[in-house]
Amino acid sequence: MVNKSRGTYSFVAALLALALVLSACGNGNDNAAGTAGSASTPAGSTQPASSDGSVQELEPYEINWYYVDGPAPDLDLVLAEVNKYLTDKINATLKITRIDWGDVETKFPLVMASGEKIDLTFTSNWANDFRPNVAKKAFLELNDLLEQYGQDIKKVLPQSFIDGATINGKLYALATNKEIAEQPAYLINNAFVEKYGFELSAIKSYKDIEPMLKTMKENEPDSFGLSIGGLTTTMVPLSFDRILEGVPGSVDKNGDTTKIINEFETAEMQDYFATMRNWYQTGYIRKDAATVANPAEDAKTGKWFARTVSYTPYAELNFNRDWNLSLSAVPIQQPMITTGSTNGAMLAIPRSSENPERVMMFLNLLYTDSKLYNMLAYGIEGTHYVKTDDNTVELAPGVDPSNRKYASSTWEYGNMFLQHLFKGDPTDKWAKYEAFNQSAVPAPTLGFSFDPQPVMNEITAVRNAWNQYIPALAVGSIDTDKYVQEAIDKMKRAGSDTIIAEMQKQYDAWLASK
Amino acid sequence: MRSASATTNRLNSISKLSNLSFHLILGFLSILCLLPMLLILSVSLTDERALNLNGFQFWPETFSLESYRYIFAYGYSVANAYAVSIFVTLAGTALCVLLSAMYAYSISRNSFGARRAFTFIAVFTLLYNGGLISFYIVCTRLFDLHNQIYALILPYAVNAFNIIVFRTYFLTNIHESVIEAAKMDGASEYRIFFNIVLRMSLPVVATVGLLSSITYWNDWMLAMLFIDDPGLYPLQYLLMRIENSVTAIQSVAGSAGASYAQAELDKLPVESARMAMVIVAIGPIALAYPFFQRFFIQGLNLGAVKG
Repeated sequence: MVNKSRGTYSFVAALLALALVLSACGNGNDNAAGTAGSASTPAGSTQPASSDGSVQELEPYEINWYYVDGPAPDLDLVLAEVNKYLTDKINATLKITRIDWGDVETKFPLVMASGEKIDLTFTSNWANDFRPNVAKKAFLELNDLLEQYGQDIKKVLPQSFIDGATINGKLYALATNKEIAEQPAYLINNAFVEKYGFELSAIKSYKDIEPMLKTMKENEPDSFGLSIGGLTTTMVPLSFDRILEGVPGSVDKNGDTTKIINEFETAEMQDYFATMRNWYQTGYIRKDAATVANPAEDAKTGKWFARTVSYTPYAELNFNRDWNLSLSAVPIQQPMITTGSTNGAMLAIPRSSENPERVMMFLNLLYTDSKLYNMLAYGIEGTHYVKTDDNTVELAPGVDPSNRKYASSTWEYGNMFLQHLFKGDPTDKWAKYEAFNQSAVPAPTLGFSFDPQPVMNEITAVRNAWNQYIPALAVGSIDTDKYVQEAIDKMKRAGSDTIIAEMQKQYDAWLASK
Repeated sequence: MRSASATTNRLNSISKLSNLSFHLILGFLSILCLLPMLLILSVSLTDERALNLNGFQFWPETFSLESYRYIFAYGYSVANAYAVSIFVTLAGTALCVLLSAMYAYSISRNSFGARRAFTFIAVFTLLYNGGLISFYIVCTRLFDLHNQIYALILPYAVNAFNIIVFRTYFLTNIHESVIEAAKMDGASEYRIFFNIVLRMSLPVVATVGLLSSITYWNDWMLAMLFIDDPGLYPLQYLLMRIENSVTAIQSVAGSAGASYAQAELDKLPVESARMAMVIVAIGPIALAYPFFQRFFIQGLNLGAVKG
């Protein structure tokens, strides 16, 4: 008996030892995470003499790039063309892996944690979360790399984008050059505008559409005046800059910008809820607004007058095309640059990259090279698209919009203003974007990021309370008199005051350090 | 021995009233189960615009085969996904049954020296596992299964639960003396296993085979983790992917920018097309099931009733 168990134990010990050895073999290369050291001067990589230096000095390198997109059957075809071009320029090739929308939450953490060599990854405040990753030191600091190899990026990308991705003085990601601000607006159905002679320029704030809603109600019994819910319930068109989603605590843009307040206690918010309730009861808002799952399906019917949307120049044209309606957009707030609006789509270089210099050179091209950008955006000329003039493209003959073999979400990378216009887009589209960006006002909290760790429990509890009341209050489907105060009290009991105190503390510290 | 008469045996039968009420209740429950499928079928045959105006109806307002035409032209290939799923299920089930049986047989034999150790290793995995991240790292870094079809088969191939099931059966039903007798007749170990032991264990083979084939057929997790090549998507993952994408895009719409989110949503199939996909994916299975049902029930019963 003794013999037997001794034999067993030594056997199991040997097995464990074998397992340890195998795992060390597999992981050996990429345990360099801790030893990578300063990103800007790794010992072994070659550096060209000047920024557009001789390509012969560079060794070939494959850039492994992950971002969020649906699959494209012709991705390999397009990549082959792109790689020919890229090899000439910087002797690098691209390998693109697209993570589909539904897999973002599960796959990104896995891929980042697996230690695989990734050179470039998408990051934002809703996917592959930017700030937690920076806290985990998963991304490289880009300041020096930008100076050395990304000079052109600095000329193109507005400073606010760079500020939005800078934490404690270090830059960690490069945002896509697109619209920089968010601006709540109403999307108006033109069919009814013509019918009743509405004056759209009279709409300056959310309340101004009330007379029009009244006309709608009186004359169009089976259409809705204000169609909100689903995609648009978070678009509350007021002047509050909220710090964290799902939790009270904002800075009043028009008030004292150093104080964080509970916006639900302000008169403005109470008034908004009261108005919504009024509109709901009068029938301007559909009765099931709080639970509408996919408002786009409902939008296509055209049986509505207005809906809230986040405005970008000519956004209404996209919606026109998709929903087959004629729409106008009327902004109801000033465009505001928030940390959120600058963090919507960024690219970062993970620590596991072996040649960050090459990646930065590639990024430099992505922000300046129109040919490269449009290849990635539209595919191969002739096969996927044809040019109608210098700056406009349309789908190649025989390609049906519903089964395109190649499409790409260009808003996730590079300089969107390089993208050729699609046939039917207005020629001044990018000029309008530039103007929009210029006219935007930075929010008081731009660059401030709140660390929720100290108050995580309170946040979860408050969010639960929030979800019980706020979506319904925001569309007016429950009684304001009774429930607004109840909602505020419930959130207070769950700890909203503690959260606001913590926010104030961190905010003060950040303001002092500016 | 009294023979069962052809007419109803009054001692065993239930009253007519109970019979009727059981039929009604079970019939009602069955219809409840069928209704969602009927709704899906009807939605898939409805014109999209009518859907937007009237919502889901049991009878299509405006008949349309457009969504079926659409999915067969769509980037994803449903037929390809079928092929992948069928291959993975057949290969996976065969592998799973074989490996589990061999492992279990080894640990059921008394004369195997390291028996305790291997049993411990198998049982240990029932209680503890390393979590998703270490699983992912082992499969992609150590075994390089990324984007291979084996990634869909191997992770479920050896399962401690199946091993225990087999082992229990072997211990209780395969008497040591049978094996001794075979040995004395000069059979090799392989011969004993394949020709004698397995032949005597058909019920448990059927059971484990059934369980593992269901696991393989329904699985989409492995595809989500390891497969990026659209040519290797199994059926369930194809459906799951589209549904998840729609939900995900809607939930991030505020942060990413509503017009971009809208553009992304428009690249995906519309409601009726998604329903059509469901019908195409489930339809043939649902129709084939009644034919295979007999074998499933037989297999499950074989193990149950023993003298």
